[in-house]
Amino acid sequence: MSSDQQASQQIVPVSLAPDPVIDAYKPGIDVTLLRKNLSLSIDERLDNHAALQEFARELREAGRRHRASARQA
Amino acid sequence: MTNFKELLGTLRTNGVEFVLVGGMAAIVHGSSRLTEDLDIVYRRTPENMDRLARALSPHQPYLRGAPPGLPFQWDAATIQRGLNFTLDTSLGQIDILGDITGGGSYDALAPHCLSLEVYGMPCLVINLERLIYVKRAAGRRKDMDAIAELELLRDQANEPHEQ
Repeated sequence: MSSDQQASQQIVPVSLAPDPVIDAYKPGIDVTLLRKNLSLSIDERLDNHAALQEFARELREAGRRHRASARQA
Repeated sequence: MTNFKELLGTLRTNGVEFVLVGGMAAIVHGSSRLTEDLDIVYRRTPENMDRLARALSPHQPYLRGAPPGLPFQWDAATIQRGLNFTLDTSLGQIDILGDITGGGSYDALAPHCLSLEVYGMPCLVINLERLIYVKRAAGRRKDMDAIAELELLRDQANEPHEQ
C-alpha cells in the first residue's frame, strides 16, 4: 500500500454531538458579527479579511516602532 | 502579509486542483477570525503536482521556519516525496497539504465541498459541516473557540433571521 493510500484511509470517526467544552466558548462570541458577515458576498468577506489583516500588520508595526523607541530612550 | 487573491489566482490560472480548507474556508463561511495563511489540500496526481510546482515556482517558495540557506528545491519530485509543506512565498504564507486529519485526501474531501466563485474564479471550498468535522478531529485546544464560532454559523444558516 502506498503512503498516499495509507494517508487517505486515516479518516477517523468523529462525533458531532454537542461538546460541553466547545459550548462553553459560544456565549463569548459576537453573533452580530457573524450575521453581518453572512449578509455579505464571499468576495466581500475575503476583502474585509484582507483589510483587517492589513490593519493588524499596521498595528504590529506601530507596536514594534514604539518598543524600539522605548528601548532607545 | 499574505496576498490571498494573488495566491488563489496563481493556483487557478495554472489549473491546480485543490480544496480550500482551514481559516480561509472559515472566512468564506462567515467567520470573523483573522488568519495569516492559506491552507489547501491538493490532489496528488503526477499532473497536478507538476501544475502545483509550476504555479508557485515564480514566487520563491521556501520552507517556513527553516534556516536560511537550507537546500530546498520546489518541484514535482519534491512534492511527490513529501506530503504536507508549510511554505513562505513572495505572495505570503501557504500550507500545501496532501492530507488532513479527519478529512483525508483531495479525493476524500471532494464530496464534502462547495464549488464557489471566488474573485471571479471557481474554487472548491470545504463545506461548513466538514470543516467542523475536521477541526473536531484535529482536537487542537486552540481550535475550540473557532469550532464554537463555526457551529454558531451553522446554527445561523439553519434558522431564519433578518439580514
